[in-house]
Amino acid sequence: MRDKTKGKVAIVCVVIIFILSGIYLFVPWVGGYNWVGWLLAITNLLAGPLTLIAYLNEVRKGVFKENQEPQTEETPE
Amino acid sequence: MKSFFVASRRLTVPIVIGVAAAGWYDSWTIVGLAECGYTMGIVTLLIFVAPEAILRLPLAVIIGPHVRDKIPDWVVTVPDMMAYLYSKKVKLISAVTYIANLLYDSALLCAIAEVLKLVTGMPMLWSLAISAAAQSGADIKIAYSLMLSMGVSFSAVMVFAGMAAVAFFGDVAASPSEGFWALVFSVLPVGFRGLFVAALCAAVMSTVSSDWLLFATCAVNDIYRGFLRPQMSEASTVVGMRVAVVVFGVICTIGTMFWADGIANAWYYLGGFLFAMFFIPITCGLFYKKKSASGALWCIVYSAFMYVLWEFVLGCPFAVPSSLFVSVTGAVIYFIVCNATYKKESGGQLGSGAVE
Repeated sequence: MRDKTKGKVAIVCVVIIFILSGIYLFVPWVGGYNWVGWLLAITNLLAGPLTLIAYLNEVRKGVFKENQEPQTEETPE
Repeated sequence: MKSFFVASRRLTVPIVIGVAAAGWYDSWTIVGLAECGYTMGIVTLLIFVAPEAILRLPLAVIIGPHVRDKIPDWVVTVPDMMAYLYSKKVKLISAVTYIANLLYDSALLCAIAEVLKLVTGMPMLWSLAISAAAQSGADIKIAYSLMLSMGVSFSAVMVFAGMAAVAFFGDVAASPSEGFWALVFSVLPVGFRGLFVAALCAAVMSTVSSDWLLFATCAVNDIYRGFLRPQMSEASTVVGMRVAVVVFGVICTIGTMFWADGIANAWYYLGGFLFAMFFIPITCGLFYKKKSASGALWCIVYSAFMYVLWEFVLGCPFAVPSSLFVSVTGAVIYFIVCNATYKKESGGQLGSGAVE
């Protein structure tokens, strides 16, 4: 993914935070706790396994494989 | 060392999400938030859960990517960053004061000890026995933002769990945590109870392990190797850090005695302490043109002493939270001292960390 695309994806992720915060804060006032309960159950039960699958996929691609470290800048005195 | 500390800076978005979530979310997020929901109710969402996620956004989208992309490669820890931005003296004081956060890990261990005591009956004492690693700043923006949105959902669940605990067991439980665990062991089916306890242990281990590594790094790499034995080899440093992890583990275990009455205040005390000390020096160090090492030093030392004084000796006069009072007054001291000493120090070796 190019940096410009990553930037746009990051903006979408930030917007999601505000949307979710608004839902959890205001929906109980309007529609009661049932909707919030279902939404919480769905988001939590999806987020964890999806992250795990993506994590394992990256491990399979070799993100933790040992390779030679590039030269680093010298630590100043 | 770069491989040891920051996985050679090659972690991708899913890995950073997993690592950051493992480091940030812990037994306070599970038991502590439930205790907050038990004692304060749904207002916890308004005063903590939502603001916490939103106020962490600058870290996710501005500071984190800035640090990853603009800071030199040899900077791998917060004390290293303080040395880069200011001076070695500021690095030393940062490393020493950061270790105080050990008490927060004691609170996390308390949560496991409490449930193991409830489950097994063992006395509490015997029950006890992630910016820089990402590939780029853009990856940090995505990973941290996603993780914060997951955190809002997870934190909300725990607040509601605490509210359910007070509804079910509010009149019989001796403490919020007892009510919460009574709810867990009465509502969840048999297999899921064990899974929940195992998940709590995993959450604590993930955070405590990274914190103990940080403290060992501060003690051995930043303080001992940085100031007392600069000629120490990397292999010896790693051995020393492993010994330090064991030492800090023992100290952390002993520190659990401070949290016997519950861990709801753990993040308020220790998180507030770290915020009050480091927020201004780090953010201003990155962006303020007239920063000086003296300003940072005075701010950190003042904040460390005043936080303890305001919170535990004076008892938060006028109900002003210590983190708020200390960070505001610390900021005033920082800017006054910086403006007074900037010209004198800028001709010398101030860290080249004026990020353009």
